[in-house]
Amino acid sequence: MTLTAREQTELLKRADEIGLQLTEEHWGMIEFALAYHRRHGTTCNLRTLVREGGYDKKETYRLFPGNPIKRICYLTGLPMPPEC
Amino acid sequence: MAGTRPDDERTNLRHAPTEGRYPSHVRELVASKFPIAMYEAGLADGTPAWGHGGFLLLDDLAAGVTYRASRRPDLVSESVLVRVLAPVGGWFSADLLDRMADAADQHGEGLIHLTTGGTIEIYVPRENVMPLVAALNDCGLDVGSTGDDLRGVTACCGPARCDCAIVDATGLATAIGRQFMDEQQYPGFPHKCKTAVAGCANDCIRAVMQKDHTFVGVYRDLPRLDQERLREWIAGGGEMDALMAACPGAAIRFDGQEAVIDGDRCARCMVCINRSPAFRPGRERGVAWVVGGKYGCRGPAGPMVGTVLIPFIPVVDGDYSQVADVFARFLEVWSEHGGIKERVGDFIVRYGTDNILREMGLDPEGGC
Repeated sequence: MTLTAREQTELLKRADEIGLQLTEEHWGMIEFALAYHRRHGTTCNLRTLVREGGYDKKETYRLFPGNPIKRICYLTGLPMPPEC
Repeated sequence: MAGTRPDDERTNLRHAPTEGRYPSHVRELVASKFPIAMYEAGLADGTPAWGHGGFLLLDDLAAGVTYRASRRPDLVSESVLVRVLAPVGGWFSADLLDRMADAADQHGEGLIHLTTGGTIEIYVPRENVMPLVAALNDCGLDVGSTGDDLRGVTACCGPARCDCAIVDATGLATAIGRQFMDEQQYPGFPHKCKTAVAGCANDCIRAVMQKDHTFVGVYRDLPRLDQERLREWIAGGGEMDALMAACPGAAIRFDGQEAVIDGDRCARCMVCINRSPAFRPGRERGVAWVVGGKYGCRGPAGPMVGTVLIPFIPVVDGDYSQVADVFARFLEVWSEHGGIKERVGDFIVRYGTDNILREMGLDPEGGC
């Protein structure tokens, strides 16, 4: 986990606001998005999350309903990728 | 569509034909809950009253739904529509149409739009989207085809109704639709991706001009020629000279009794088959895969007629596995290398068909 305890608390609060109960699977994708942003300076898009993270596209929609990347950006505070 | 629909503005379309026996779109719109005032406002202003389009994200519907913004919020706030994954080929029983109409009446705006792209859209207030989807599911239909996903697969009527069909267009389109159902409901491609199947090279649905992917029924051997029937056709007034002149490869010779087709010159098109019942398609059948068709002015390459990516993929006894296999490989390559909002046509122009075929694990010289 690369987030500080305070960041985690803030993230959990935001998840609660949008009715998400975060599981280990959620945290895996969140960690991937944060690591990608650290490496590239941009937020990954859905295709990158699925391809490089090795996640199933349908599963990302199940975990983060609506727009998975938008949800992850909301939770983490990362900027939306330019195409979204 | 939410918002007000002033009844006094419904009958005020000065230039729209509403009287007489000819069908009138205005009569249909007025008979529904369509905000006809928006139509009229657009005509009066010289600019449509609708604004840009987009997608509404919904937690329970990964593909979301399409909406169109309003330039006249005093008339309506927006227009939301659900796109139906309908039976291909446009085949609907009266019963299914009835039930779909009931769903549109009960939850939607009482209006169904048969689009020029061959899909079906039902207008619905955003708060009624999920009840409408549930009602459509009860009819055996599903929804999707919105956003950067595989759009609903369309087809010509195929051999269910047409004498020219070389492959079962509806059968292949249904097989693709079923195999790639998730791709139609969970966006994740660089851009939208339209797909259609044309039963023969006549391509009555004009798919190669409109669709990112078109599978066209083709034959690889020569047209079958029935000499006796040819003589009967000529005796009945058939114009052999005109037929030979129409052949794009000048492949047909006729000595007054029998015709011969030059296999080196024959383009395996449908011209002789369309003109005379003595010519029938060959028996070695499959599909040609045409990629990159798109109309409209979007994308750097502009409007494009599709390019043949693979000239022949065999289809034997309804086995579509080879088609599905190469299609899946292409979608992978496009997902991997396609740019942001890059349609397939622009992708093949930038990336090159040879490179695409290599990435798909195929030999650009050898085909499938």
